[in-house]
Amino acid sequence: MPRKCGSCGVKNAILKRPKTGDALCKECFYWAFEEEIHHTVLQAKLFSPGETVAIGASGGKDSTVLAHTMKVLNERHNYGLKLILLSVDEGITGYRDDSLETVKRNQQQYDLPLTIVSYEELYGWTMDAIVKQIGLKNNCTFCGVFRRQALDRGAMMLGADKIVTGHNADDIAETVIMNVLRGDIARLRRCTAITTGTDGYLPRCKPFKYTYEKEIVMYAYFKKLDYFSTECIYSPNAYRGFARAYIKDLEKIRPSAIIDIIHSGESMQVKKEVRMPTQTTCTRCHYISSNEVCKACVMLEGLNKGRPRLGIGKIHKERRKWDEELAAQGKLQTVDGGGTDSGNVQVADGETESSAGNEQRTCSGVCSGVC
Amino acid sequence: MCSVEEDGDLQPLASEKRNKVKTCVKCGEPGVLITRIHDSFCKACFQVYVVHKFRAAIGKSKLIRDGEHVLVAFSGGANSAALLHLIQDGLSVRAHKKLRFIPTLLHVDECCVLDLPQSENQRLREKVSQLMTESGFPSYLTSLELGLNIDRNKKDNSSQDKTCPFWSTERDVTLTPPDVDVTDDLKVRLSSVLQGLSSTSSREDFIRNLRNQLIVCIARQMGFTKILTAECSTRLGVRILTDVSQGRGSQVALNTGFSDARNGDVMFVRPVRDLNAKELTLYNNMFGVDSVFIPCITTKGQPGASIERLAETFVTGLQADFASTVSNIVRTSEKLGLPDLNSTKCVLCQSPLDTDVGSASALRAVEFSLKLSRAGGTGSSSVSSPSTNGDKSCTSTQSAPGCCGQGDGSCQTRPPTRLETEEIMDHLCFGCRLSLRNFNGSTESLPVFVTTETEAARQRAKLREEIADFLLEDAEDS
Repeated sequence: MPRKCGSCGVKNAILKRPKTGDALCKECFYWAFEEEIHHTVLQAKLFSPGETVAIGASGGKDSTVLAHTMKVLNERHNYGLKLILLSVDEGITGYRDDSLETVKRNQQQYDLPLTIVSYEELYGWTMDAIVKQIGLKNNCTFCGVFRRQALDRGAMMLGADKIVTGHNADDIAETVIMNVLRGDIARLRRCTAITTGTDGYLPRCKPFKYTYEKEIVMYAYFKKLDYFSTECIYSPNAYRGFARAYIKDLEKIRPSAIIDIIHSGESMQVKKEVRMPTQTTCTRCHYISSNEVCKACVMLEGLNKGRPRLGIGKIHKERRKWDEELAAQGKLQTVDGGGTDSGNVQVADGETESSAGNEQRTCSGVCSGVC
Repeated sequence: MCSVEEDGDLQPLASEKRNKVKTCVKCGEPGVLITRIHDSFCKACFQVYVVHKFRAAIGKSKLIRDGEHVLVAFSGGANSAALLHLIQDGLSVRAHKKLRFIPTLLHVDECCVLDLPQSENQRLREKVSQLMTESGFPSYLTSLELGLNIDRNKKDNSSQDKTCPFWSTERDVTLTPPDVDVTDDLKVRLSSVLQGLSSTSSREDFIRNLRNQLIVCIARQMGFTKILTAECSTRLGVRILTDVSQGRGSQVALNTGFSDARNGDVMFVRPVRDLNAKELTLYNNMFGVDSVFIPCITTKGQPGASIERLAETFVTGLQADFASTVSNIVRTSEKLGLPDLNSTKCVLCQSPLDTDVGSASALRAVEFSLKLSRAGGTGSSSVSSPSTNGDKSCTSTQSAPGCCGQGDGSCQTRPPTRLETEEIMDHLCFGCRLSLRNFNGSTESLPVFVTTETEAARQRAKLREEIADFLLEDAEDS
């Protein structure tokens, strides 16, 4: 005998909610899914009427469902928001070009304006070109740092007040575990916030913070939403993969574990004595940064100067190596030509990561004025 | 989703580096073992290293006073045995600077939760008590099921009455508690509680909390204020991940710090937390320290048998490839702050309640989801009506004992038990709620302290309600 829906009790249930374990019919599931997101939006006071909200759209399931739900809720509950789709083109052939096609279809399906910003125009580098330089290791570092800025820049160009992203509960739980494993206390504190960046640039929020990835997939599946589901062709990050696998295994043992981890993240407090990185703005691009020069600028500098490892790992290590090389070259020149000493060689002491000495080096112009 | 990986240095260790014969990093003699990432030590320097880590941890904290009597929780396992050996060594005449505290040992017998043959139980008990007696320190035994009847507030140490939950190894060589009938009843009760819990993870969590409370209670009755446990960094790393995965994020600092002061007058101290499992095992191996293998409920189980087991598999697996995993995790926990120990506490684990959270939080989000998918309806009207949640009859007490099990409110019965699981839930922390969720045993079988303290808290809340009109806004409830 088919089971009845636990909510309406009339129709036959067609699915078991991963989040609560209850059997629901299709309509009740849609309704519960949407209302929960509405609940999150209300309780966390994510938006105020009249705001322009940029939806970070990659064409994947999370952002497609996000765009759909935001539109539905905006109309149903009169948020009074102006919604726009914002995509970042990382320049990955065989992956992003295909997924952008999906976003373009979404643009028509949901009747929302779409803007695409590309790494190429912002930084002068596509991911394909970056991978050629750096190889398949650490390439995700570049992509992640650049994407964060690219979204912000795109949204600012469009005059948006906020950015919403499709990060779901699984993503956040995974990040909590990652940050525990890496001992990154600053990120551990930040990563469970539903809205980030309130004090600096555009606030970003995650309406799917309490939404299970599985439920997003179910929603997209039953609603037959048009989304793109291929993994990035450049291998995903190995260390995060461990955290991901752990979360998936946990979910099998106790499905509520994902929310439980988020609760843990929310209720952790950081010792007062622990020094936190202070947020300032980058002296080159004026984007929010915890160092004098932001990561993106350092990475870009590395790329443009043919030292792509500059932005990865311990900055001062690579920086010192480079300075030593330069100094050695300088000495050679001194021996050869006598005269002009290494006036342009700044011997950084290795401790002050990207300190005053480095400011004189600027981008060679390819980055179209970002740096 | 790609990620931002800051630290490009995380690469698995190259295997050829591991097996090279090296000289001791301290004295230059041939090394006999490698610890940390690739530091080689000779036997003598390794001992100095381990002893230093142990003593430095105690010394730095300045918690243990001269001549203080401390209780050492001794399971008989490798870590406990190493701790015991380190203490013995530090108290011996040949020690460079003698340790100043006076230890007493306590072993909690947990055979009742395992399905082992009687002869095996007996063998384990005899072995443990042999190790304890050989140490020459005063030694006591207790049994986990006795935790069900303890009174947490009892402070006297008139240990001669029948309800005393511990007994000396000297007094009773047959290793049986003073009152066998009582413990047999309690054993039955404990197994019924464990059966009533919904998963192995819950059982494991419950057993751990019960054990801790039993040890604290005994320490209190014997007049100790410090309990030394032998949790090593590997154990703590697993604990941290388990805690985070079970919604105990706010308790990580308590559960894994050097000291845990949540129980007020009795404090847990973890003097070997700077050493990892490998170091302690090597220490045991090198200095002929004898230990017992005590199985737990997930022994021989799958990696997915429980959350703790999974976390263990995960951490030890990562540790094999990334040697800094455990120390990274433990360092994270060291940066976490303690919750306010003066606030209302969980009636089971005694950690400050973490359930008073804002409206935009994981806890409220789950409550809302449950409300929607159980008592809601597709109509828009019922979203806003709070009545669906306020009904305390069968609907909200899903699996309370005595309910017809429909869970839809149709039977309208109220279970006859005095306290419902649901009522206890309000006085539990998030983590303990998870453990007791869907508990389908009788609430009367739960530890006495849980039920009595819940009653007391409810009573207090009732009183507070009566005088609510006369209370000023900022009057704090102690």
